[in-house]
Formats: sequence, structure tokens, C-alpha cells
Amino acid sequence: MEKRIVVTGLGVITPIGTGVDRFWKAAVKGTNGVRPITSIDVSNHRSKTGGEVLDFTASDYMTEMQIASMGRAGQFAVAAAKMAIDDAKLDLSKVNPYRVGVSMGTTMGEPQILHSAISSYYNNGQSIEGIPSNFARQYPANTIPAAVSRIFGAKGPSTLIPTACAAGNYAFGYAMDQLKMGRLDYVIAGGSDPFAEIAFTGFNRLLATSMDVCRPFDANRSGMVVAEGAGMLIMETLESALARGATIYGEFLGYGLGCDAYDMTIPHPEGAGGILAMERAIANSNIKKTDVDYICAHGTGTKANDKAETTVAKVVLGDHAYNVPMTSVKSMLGHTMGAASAIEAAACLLMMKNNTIIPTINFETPDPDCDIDCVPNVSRDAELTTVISNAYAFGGNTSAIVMKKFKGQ
Amino acid sequence: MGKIVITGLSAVSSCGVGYDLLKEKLATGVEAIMNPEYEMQKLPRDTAVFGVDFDPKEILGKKGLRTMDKATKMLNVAIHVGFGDYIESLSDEERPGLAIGTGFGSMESIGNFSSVSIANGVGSVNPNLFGNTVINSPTGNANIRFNLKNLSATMTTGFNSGLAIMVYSCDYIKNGYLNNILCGAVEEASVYTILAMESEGCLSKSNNMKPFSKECDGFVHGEGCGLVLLETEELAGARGANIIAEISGYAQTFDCNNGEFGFGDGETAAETMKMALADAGISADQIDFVVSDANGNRYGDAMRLKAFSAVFGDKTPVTSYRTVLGESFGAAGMLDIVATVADLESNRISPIFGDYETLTGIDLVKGSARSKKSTYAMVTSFSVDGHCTAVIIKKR
Repeated sequence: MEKRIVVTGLGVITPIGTGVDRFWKAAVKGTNGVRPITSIDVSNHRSKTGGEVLDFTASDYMTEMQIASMGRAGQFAVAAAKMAIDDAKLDLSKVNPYRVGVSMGTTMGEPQILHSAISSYYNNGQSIEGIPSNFARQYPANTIPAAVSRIFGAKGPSTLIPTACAAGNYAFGYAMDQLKMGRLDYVIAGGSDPFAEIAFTGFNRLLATSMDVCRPFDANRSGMVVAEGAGMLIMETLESALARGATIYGEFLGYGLGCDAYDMTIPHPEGAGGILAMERAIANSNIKKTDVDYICAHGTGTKANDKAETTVAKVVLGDHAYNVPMTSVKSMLGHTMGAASAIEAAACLLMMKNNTIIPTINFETPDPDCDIDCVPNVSRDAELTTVISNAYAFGGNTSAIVMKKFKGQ
Repeated sequence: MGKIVITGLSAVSSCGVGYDLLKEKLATGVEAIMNPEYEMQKLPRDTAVFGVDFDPKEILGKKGLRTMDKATKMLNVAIHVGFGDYIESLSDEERPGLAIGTGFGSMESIGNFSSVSIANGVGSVNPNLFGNTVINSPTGNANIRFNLKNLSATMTTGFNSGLAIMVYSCDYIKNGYLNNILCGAVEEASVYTILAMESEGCLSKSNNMKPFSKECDGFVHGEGCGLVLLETEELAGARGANIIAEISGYAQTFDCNNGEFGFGDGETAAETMKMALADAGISADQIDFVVSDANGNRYGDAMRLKAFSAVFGDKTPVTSYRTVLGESFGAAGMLDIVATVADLESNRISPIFGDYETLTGIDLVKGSARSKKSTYAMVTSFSVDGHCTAVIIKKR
């Protein structure tokens, strides 16, 4: 019999709160985490706002030596992993370490480390003495899952899928596959990205950023907002969760991946890759389209994405799309890059648990191209059973995951 | 689920463009070149590179190359020369997925984007180059060029990326999502990686890579792209494809016990190989030769030797292709896979080149190619960061 996969622990670090409780309370209130940027000099940049994490203290989660060995994305990942492991009440010392894996995603890894090293190199007259001593050990993106594996003693596969802003969904999908194949008993899965000047510069130069807040699906939306964060889940088989009496947030039914194969930075205008991903996710999850009662949108707040994503929902779900609320967590957090779909998966599970849909904030003017129910500005009570979470990315990567409320065996 | 087989190969490497050149020169050797740009790049010393010398315009034409970095060019060339006609013959739905391993994406693109903004201000940055700064940029660019819509996946596990993407691709096919995947890995030699590795003391001071040597002093930077077409045996049979090899088994772990110099004591590496053997349903003495990622790092090579000795004793020949292909980081594992198939097809084991004294305890293939008609080969990667993978290939 095919194994069923469930989520038993969550950990999040976001611009509206570090930790699940703080995040959820702020999200229900529709808190705006997009503020004037403080971590870098934005005086020469077009936009000045971003979603920075302001309440994270690394030493709450790891030793000073561990902190010194990693960049910010690694610290986020380790901290969120610790939250998730504690939340799952999982004692890793009592399990076979080869049966515990780490599956993560990111967009750029630790680009701020490279940026800082290059700056130092130039400031030292392009001398190799200007290269910081730990650069080669801290910069490679794979040090992020490696840190999680090492600190928590997980000797199963430790992988990083850097499919940009869809990375979290890819990581969850691979985690599910490895659990279903029987290779692993537990996977610490998710995504992490730091606030990076390279990303902020790039999106600004593309004229893709909003000048103030993120307003997905609004007729006057003007772009995305660069942000940072991390989201981690503990995934295991249903059998394992029941055997150890774990609290189950929800069931991971399946996922679908596709590719626009259209442009590196612009989504397909008719959402071709998004349609393929969602169709596959539904098929792979053995659900009916009418089972879907909520979509967590990629919802970046750009003209192109939100229009294309609305098209995806309507093409795949048909008329039923008008019965399915579709909201954007990015309206509150900004775009946390490779962490986005990881945090959004956690948000979906919390929405199902609490029978509440958190809103799309900053919504003022409806757009006929985005004529879906985006749950504007105020949270809504709703019993959710089956949800889809989309994530799209540079390179045309598209993904959708399907999760379901667990109501017993 | 039936077997997963390899029905095509391609490579862009220090041996040249194409699988045939790699197959030819693997056994005869290739000289590293001195980095022709070291003065312009203001590197502290002249370093050797197992570089790729090619003209993408001649192969791909001029269109679409202006904003393409070397990593993306190597990947596109490898796909074009190996599989261009095959892809062209397929409908969108039939086209294979694309899954690429890389350590950095295009380090040159990311570094240059940063450098320009630091040196000349953010307003000087070319927005058309921003898309090159994400790690999945080479993959995404190839998806666009060849209209591959079924999958765009990228894997980054540092030096281990090339084998990790092989495992990911096989898992993806085994789970029934797709029947065919172009699975590869790519890495370019960048001034930024050369500086980083030089700063860390990893590069050979003598510009001479000596795997498993008593007197090794580091590795020589390489670059390239290795690519295979993976498909189910059923699909291959249905279309009458020539089945070259089979993926018999694999295993992936993480060594949490990195010592002071980043490498463990060999226990996890040995366990990984045993798990791969169990996955393939064969015993250690059925492995005809082992391909190591030994690259002249004293601590890493010592760990690898210990692990091989524990699993295979001194009976199974062990080689490393690094003295021909260089240390190409994320591309290395897939270049090793392609090279292993080349040796299986050629009934030989290509050697570690170089005149030096080696460590003892295992049967190293050194100096000249050894004739051997082999069935099973194991390709391994045990990286400094802790990622461990072993893949077993069977000749068909």
C-alpha cells in the first residue's frame, strides 16, 4: 500500500514574525511586514522598501561557533529547523540517523557573502588578502542544508534544489518522494533566503519592484518587494506519526512541476507552465478539481504574474475557480525568494488547522484580469480541506503542491 | 518500475566538445593549460586550469548568445551536439525533462553582477544579466532554447552535485513522473572560484594534481559539462534506442563528522558504498572498478582510500579522472559518469596520470590505461562539505 505523508512540525522566520505563533497572529491581523530597508544603503536604488526579518536572534537557536560558521540563510535554516523539530517533538537521538534527510531550496544561497567578499577584494586593491578567510567555506549554497544536517545529526541525503522562487515546493516534493520510496523516515524540508543586495539591485534594475508595498491582484499593483526568511517542515509517513503520537498538521498529497520554457525572468503570459504544474499536482494527488477549496498564490504583485496566475486557476479549475479563494501571503511578507513557498506551505497548514484564510492585504481596486476572490484585507473564517500552493520562478520553473486537512485514518 | 537506462551521452570538457573526444583522450591524457587571463584578472599567481576551449557560435549559431555566460554556453552546446536532432524530432509532450547539477550556477555572472554594482554603482548594472545570477540560470536557459517544458530541475550539493542530480533524476523517473530526463551537470572556471580556492589553499601550488599521492598539494581547477539521456527501459525499447548502460543502484548520505579539514573518517563514505551495493543487489566483489573523486587534497584522498579499503580491500581497481578533467566541482560527478561509460564501452580503465608515488592499500590504476572487460563500475563522490553519493553503472 502506498505510504501517506504528513507534516508534524513547522518552523518559520518571516518579516512579520519569527516563530509560528508570532507569525500566525500577525498574519491573521493582516500585518504589513514591508518597511523602509535598514540593512543596506538604498539611497541609489529605485525602491526603498523590503521585507526584512527584524526579530531574529541567531544565538537563541545555535552556538556562537555555529553562527560564525554560516551565513544568514544558513542561520535561518538551522533556526527554523530547530523550531520544526521541537514542534514535532521529534527526538532525533532515538532514530537511525541514516533515515533522517534534509531537503531544501533557495534562490541564491548566501549572495551577501559573495558581495561582501568582492567589496573587500576591491577595497584591498584587488589583492587576495582582501578575500575573507571563511569565504570559500561559507559562500557555497549547499552549506545551508549541510549545516542543518550536521547540527541535527541527520546522515540521510542532504540536498539543495535552487530552483529560485519555486524552490520550497521542489524541496517538499523531493522529500515526499524519498519518504514514499521508503528511503527515509523523516525529512527536515523547506527553504531559506537572506535579504541580499544582489537580488535587490537586480529586481530594481528590471523595474520589477513596487515603490512602496506589495498589492497582489490589485489593478494598481506595481511590482514585487524583495524580502527574506525561512520555512521548514518535518515530514514523515502517517504510520510513523501515528505510532509516536505526533500532532499532524496536514497531509501532503502530491505535487506537480513544469516549465514555461518562455523567458528567464518573465512568466508565460497564458500561464502555460503554471497550468501544467497545477494539472499534474491535481492528477498526482488523486483529487477532483472540485475538491480544491483554496489556492495559496505565488502572487508576487507584478502585473504579469498575477494576471497569468489568475488565468492558470481559471483554465485548470474552470468555473469552480470562482468558488476558490486565492490569496497572496507575499502581500504581507514581500517575496522571500526560495523561502516563499516553504513559508506559504506552513501558512496553508495553519489556515487548515485554524479554519481561517489569511488575507491579501493592500487591496483597494479590483482588476478585471484578476477576477478571483483574493480575500481582501481581512481574514475570513473558512473550513478548508484541500489546498493548492503555487510557486513560479526565474527560468520558467513552475510548481504546485496539494495538501489536505488530516481528519484521521 | 523497470530499469533506468542510459541511451545517449554528451560532454564538453578539457578533452574537447563531444563524447567521442572525451572517450579518446581519457585514456591518453590531457595537459592542463595555464590560465590565459590571470594577469588581466589580477590573480596572485599563474594557475593551471583544465579549461574548455570552444567557440559556441560555431556550434549554436549567433542567436541568443550575447547575454549567455560560459556555464550556460557549455550546457547548451552539450545538449545540442549530443541530443539536438533527437529533441527536434519530438513533440513538446514527448521531450525529456531537464535536470542539471551545479555547484554555483554561473559564478562569473553572479560575481560580475556584484562587481559592477560595487565598482560603478547600481545604475551601471545591466538588467538583462540579472537572470544569470540565479543558480538555476544555466538550466532555465537550456529549457528555453530547446523548448523543454516537462521539467526544469537544478541540484546544488557542492562538489557532489553531479551525482546528486543523477540520484534525483532516477528517483523522479522511478516515481513515475516522467519517462525520460536529460540529466547533466555543469560548472565553469571562474576568476571568483579560482580566487576563493586559492585563498583557502586548495589549489595545487605546483599546478600539478596528484590524487592519492604522498606528496599532493591540492587540486587543479577544471570546468565542463557532462550529460546523459536517462529513460525507462520500456521507453528505450519501444523506440528502438541503443541501450548503452543501466543505473543499477545508488545511495546518498551525509557525513556529519567532518574533521578539522572538512573530511570525515571514511565510515560514512564506506556505508554509502555498501548501501549502493545493497540497492543494486550485488556484492562488492562484483564491482569491476571504482571511480573516485580523489583530487589531490591530502585529507580527502586519505579518507577515500580508507573507505575504499574497508569496502573493497585491495582487489578492486580504483581510478580518478581528475588528472584529465580537472576538479570541476558540481560538474565532476556527471563528467565521471560519462567517462565511466566510456571506459565500460572501451573495455578499459583509464588511469590517474602523473609520475609520483602513491599511497598504498588499494589497487590504483595509474600511469597507463588498463585493459579490462567490465560489467559493473561504481562512481563515488565524498565531498568536503559532507555530501556522500555512490552510483553503480552496469554495461549493457
